[in-house]
Amino acid sequence: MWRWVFLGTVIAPAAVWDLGDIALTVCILPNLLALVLLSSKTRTLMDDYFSRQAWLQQPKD
Amino acid sequence: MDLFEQIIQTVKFYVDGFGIPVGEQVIPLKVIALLGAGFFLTVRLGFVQLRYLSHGFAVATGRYDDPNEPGDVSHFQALTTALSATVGIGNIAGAAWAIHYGGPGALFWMWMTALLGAATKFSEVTLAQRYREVTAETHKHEGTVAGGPMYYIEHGLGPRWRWMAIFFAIALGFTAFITGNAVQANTLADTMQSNFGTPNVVTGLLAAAVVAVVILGGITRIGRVTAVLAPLMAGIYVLSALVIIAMNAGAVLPTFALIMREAFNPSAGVAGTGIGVLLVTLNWGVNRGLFSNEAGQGSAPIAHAAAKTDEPVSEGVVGLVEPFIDTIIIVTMTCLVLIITGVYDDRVPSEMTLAGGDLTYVTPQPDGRFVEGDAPASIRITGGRQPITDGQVAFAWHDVPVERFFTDVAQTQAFTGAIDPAAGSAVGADGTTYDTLYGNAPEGGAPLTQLGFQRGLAPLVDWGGFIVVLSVMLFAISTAISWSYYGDRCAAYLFGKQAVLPYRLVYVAMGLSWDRDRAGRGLGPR
Repeated sequence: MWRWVFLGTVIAPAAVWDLGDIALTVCILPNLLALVLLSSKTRTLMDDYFSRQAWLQQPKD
Repeated sequence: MDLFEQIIQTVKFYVDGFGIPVGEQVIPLKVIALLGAGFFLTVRLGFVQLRYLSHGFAVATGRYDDPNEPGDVSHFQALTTALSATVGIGNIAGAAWAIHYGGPGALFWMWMTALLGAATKFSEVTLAQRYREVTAETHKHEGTVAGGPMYYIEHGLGPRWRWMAIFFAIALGFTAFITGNAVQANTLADTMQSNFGTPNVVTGLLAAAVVAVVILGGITRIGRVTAVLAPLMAGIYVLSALVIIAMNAGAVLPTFALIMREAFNPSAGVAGTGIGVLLVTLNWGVNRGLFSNEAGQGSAPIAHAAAKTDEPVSEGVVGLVEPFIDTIIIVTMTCLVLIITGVYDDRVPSEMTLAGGDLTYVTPQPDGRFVEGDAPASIRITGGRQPITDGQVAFAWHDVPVERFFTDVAQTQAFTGAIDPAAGSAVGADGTTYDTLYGNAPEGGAPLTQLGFQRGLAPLVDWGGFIVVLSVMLFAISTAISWSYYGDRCAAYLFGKQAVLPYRLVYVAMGLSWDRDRAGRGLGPR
C-alpha cells in the first residue's frame, strides 16, 4: 500500500480524510456565527433591493 | 506517524462526536448549529426561499445581466461554478447511504434540510457580494474580485474579528486540498480502475492535465467551462432517472406516500437501523442533506462573489437556486430510482473480502436494530449459515448480517467452518483457508446507485449502470475544478494575489499524489 507524503510526514489516507472532515466542521462554525450576527444587515439589503425593484432598473452606461 | 494519526482521531472524536445525546443517538453539534442557523435565518428573512426562488431563476438565466457591472463571471456562470463544486459524489453515494441506513424517509429530511439551508445560502451569498473586494486587474487569470466568509467576517463584523477570518481561510484552503481535490482524484481513479482497468497513473495524469488547463485560466475560464459542464452532467443524470421514473409511472405516487410515511414512522431501514427509530432516519437525512448542498459551509459564496453585479441581493437569490437543484432535484432523482427499482433493500450476490473493506460486526437488538460492535474471536458457520440471534455478534456486510455463505461465485458450495476476524480469513471444515466468501448482501453507496440505474434502464439498454459511472467521473472532475477557486481565494486573502499561481500549481500536483488504499473512504457512509 502506498502512503501519502503530507506535511513532511507519512500518514495513512484515512487519516487525511479525517483531517479534511475536521477542517470542514471548523469552517462551519465561524461562518454561521458571522451569518447570524450580520443577519440584520442581510435583512436591510434584502428589503432595500425588493422595495426598489432593483432588477428592473436600466443598465447604467 | 502513528502518534499523528492518533491525534487526528482524538480531535475528530471531539469535533465530530460532540453533541447532544438523545436516547442512544447523539445529534452532533454541527448539525444543531446548521439547522439552528437555517431556521433562525429563515424566520429573520421572512421565508425568503419560498418567496423569491422564482426570481432567483429569472436572474440566473441572465435576463437582467449587465456586463459592465464589476465582477468576473455572469450570474449563470457563478451558479454553475458553485453547483459543479456542490453536485458531487454526495448526490450519488451520500444519498444512497442515507437511504441504506435511514430508509426511504431520510429523503424527506434531506428536503427539509435543503429548505432551511436555502436561507443560509441566501445570506452567505448576499454578504459575500456586499463585502467583496474589487481590485484593479493585474493578470487576467487572477480575477478582479475576491469575496467570501473571510471578507464578510473581517469587513462586516470589523477588524476585531480578523483572527476568525484568518482561521476560516486557513481551514477552507486546507479543505479544498483534501475534500475538494485529493478525495475527488481518489474517487475518479478508483472508478476508472474498477470499471475499465485504467492504471491510476494514467487517470491521474489525464485528470491533472484537464484540471490544470481549466484552473490556470482563473475564474473566467472556470466559469465558461462549468457553464457547459454542470448543465451537461446534471442533464444526463436527471434525464436518465426521469426515464426510469416514467417507465414506472404507476409507482411514483405510492413511493411518495412511502417516503412521507417512513419520514415520521420509519420501519424499513435496510440496515435495520430505521425500525421504529425516528432519530436515526432524521439524522441520516439531515447529515447527508447538509453535506450535499453545502449550505453554511462558506464555500459556495466564494464562487457567487465573482458574479458581475452591483446588487448583492441579486446574487443572493441565485444562491437560492443551488440547494433546489442539488437536493430537491438531483438527490431526489437518486433516491426515487433506488426506491422505485427496489434495489435499496435488495440482497445481491456479493464478493466479501474478509480482510476488511465493507465488513462489520453487528449485534441484533430485540427492537430490530443492529448495533456495531467489536469483532469476536471467531464465528462458526454451519451449512453456510451463521447464528443471527439477539445479543450475539454476527458477520455483516454494509452493516446487515449475511444469511448464507458460499465458497464459490455461483453460490453452490455452502461454507462450513469458522471465520477468523483477526486473521482476516476463514478456515473450512476440511482445513482450506479462504480470503473471500460469497453471499447475498445489500449494496451501499455509489455501487447501489449504479445497480439502481442498471436495473431501471434494463428494459431499454444494458449499460444503465454506466450512466452512474460517467456521472461519478464528471462530478469528481468538476468538483475539483471549482474547489480550486475556493482555495485560491483563501490563499489570496492570506498571502496576497501573488500566492494564487503557486497555490494552483500545488493544487494540480496534489491531485496526482493519491494512494491505493481501497478502503472506499471516498465513497464511505460516514
